Amino acid sequence: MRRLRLVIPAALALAAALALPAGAPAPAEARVGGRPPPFVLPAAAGGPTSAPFRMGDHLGQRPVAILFWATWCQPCQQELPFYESLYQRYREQGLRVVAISMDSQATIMRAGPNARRLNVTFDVVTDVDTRVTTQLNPRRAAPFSIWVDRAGRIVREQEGFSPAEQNAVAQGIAELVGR
Amino acid sequence: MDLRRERRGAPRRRLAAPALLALVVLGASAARAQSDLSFELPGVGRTTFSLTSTTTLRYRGENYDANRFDDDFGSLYQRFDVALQADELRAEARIDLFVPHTVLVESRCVGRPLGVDDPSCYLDWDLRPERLTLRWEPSEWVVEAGDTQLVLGRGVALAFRKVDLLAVDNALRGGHVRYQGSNFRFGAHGGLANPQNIDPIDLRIVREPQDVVVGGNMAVVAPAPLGVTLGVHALRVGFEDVDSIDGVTRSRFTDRAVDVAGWSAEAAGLADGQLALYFEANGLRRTQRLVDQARSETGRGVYASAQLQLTELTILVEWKDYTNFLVAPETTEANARRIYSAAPPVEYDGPQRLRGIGNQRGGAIRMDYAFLPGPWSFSVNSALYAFNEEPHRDPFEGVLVSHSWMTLAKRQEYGGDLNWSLDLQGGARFETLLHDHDARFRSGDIDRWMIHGRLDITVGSGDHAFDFIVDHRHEREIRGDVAEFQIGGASVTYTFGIPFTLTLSLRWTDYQPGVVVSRGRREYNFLGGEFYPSLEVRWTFEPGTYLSLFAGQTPGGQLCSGGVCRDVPTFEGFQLTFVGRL
Repeated sequence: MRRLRLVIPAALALAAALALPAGAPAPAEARVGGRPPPFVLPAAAGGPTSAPFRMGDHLGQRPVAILFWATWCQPCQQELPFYESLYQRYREQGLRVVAISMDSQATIMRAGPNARRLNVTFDVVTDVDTRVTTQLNPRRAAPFSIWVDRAGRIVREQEGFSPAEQNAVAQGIAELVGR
Repeated sequence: MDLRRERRGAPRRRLAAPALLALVVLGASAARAQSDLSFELPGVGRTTFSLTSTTTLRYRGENYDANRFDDDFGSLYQRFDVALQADELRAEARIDLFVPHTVLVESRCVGRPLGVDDPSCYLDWDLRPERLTLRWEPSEWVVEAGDTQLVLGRGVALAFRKVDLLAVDNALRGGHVRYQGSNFRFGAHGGLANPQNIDPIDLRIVREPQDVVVGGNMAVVAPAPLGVTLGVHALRVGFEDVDSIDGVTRSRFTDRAVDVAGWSAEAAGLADGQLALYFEANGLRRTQRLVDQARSETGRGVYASAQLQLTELTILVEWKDYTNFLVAPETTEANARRIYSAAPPVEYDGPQRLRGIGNQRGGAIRMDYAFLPGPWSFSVNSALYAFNEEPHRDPFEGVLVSHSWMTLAKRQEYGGDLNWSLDLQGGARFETLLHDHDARFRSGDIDRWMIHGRLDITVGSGDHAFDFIVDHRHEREIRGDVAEFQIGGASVTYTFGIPFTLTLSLRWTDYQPGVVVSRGRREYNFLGGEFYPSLEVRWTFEPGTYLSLFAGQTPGGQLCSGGVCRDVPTFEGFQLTFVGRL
């Protein structure tokens, strides 16, 4: 145990050293990560769209912003209208936005109307058994956003949302669409 | 079997140090990854690797519970979620590591036996792979081996999903086949229940029961414009003959099993998408053996909803009839991890304690109005139903619940120099006796009442944003042990762009009088035993990778979700969390 007590602080210090970038934070800098699975999810009843969302139809063809949200999540209520404004700005250039509701069976019927109240027009789908959420958002953070570029690669993941991020997110989406 | 004894052992401990170092360094390296981690796998094709690492270093002070051996200890908790994704194949794994007593203080249990010999000294290190899944998704098929989430219907019959609030993450470990065609769907599942149940004190995963689950579902979908889906489902759960949380105490019952069969109908897009209907009916049979006597009983679970969606107005009506219906070892199961059904409660999804969740009848109506395209909206909600904690008696011989609440909201409108949003909620809830409880409490008397409110205002300008939240509830329990209590809190959060977030919070509760009194004796609780201040700072290095520090206190008490409750101890100390992604 004495040895472990020495190892853990050392490991954490090393972890912090590896994690910290050398310079100032670079929030808009893109990372290249994995690929999302070609999931299919049903539209939320009473939501802005009625057809299922098929990720396979968009992978490798156009940029997609995947938003994990829930009716009980207050920051999500601020994130969805902002992405709606970006969707209106860039939809002609191919941007797709899909909001995946993490609501359980207790609140799932409220997901569609909630999105309508937020004046959202992009796809709003449900994932009651959380199977897609488990794959793409294993920490089950809400809100949680994933950007997928035209090549089908995940280039950005972000937990949380605040209106203070709007400039950085808008700049990032512009780069994603133009990429 | 003595599992705690089995976990101890010098060889595993000798391996812990290098393994831990390697794991943490690997996790940290995720934050700096800039390259594409794709590669060609023979026979599989282009494959990409992804990793989410969560490292938590924590110091926990006084819990204010009866056990002094789980106070004042430091711990390291490490979780990796890793995945390999190809076109049709995906492999996933979660690795959890917990190391207590190692960072800041020596264990108080040194020289004392662990586990069953002395249950108060239960903290021990733990390393285990979890959530192992191999998934093959050719076209409309999904074939899985390992852990998967699974909900049948609206969860009335079966719900294997994460319950975030209670830190229970249910999965079914076994074999799974699903077909998701346009007009036909089916699924077949079999395996062991694998509820990843996190202990709120030591973050260790509580030992899972070996409950066997076998089930399936099938549905046909009528093509548009009708769009009606008709489905059937059936399952059997065989419960392990243990009752206690550590698997040591055996149940007085044996051969416990629950069989459920049901059907559902859904029409989500009637009247040009303006009307959505859902109906589900389930029958349940519970069998068990007490000594040599076999017992059997039945129950039912019915849920229906109708939602009218006009341009600005939404009306949702829900109805439930759950009679002696709970997919669990007992009709009045107390362990959240072993309740495998999650029937919609139709009530406000708040902190109130729901009782008799398997024996309820009633409904709710919700009306939302949005002043579109403007930012304002409001909703009016009302639920009225009865429950009975005695599962074999009619709900309307028990307690009547009436709960009404309203919400006024303004969404963010982006584009200007200053933008703001508001969410204001308030309501009242009453429980009224429908039977003569005793000479003092008669039918028609109020059993419990609660008033609650919440205000959330967010103001943003450029790279700066402030979020103010205040919530409070006042509850009175006429018959119970705690006569009257108040729970609430206030917080302010400042955010600068993506990188920086600072939250100051003050929670208050007098729900647990014994805890309040003992907390009041502490010198550093200068605000008093009922108040819990805290501070949280988060720094985001790049999107998805951040470091956060929480320092302060949070109240314990009862957390409830969908009628399933869990007691959580008071926390005081600090927690450093690092999240990295690759």
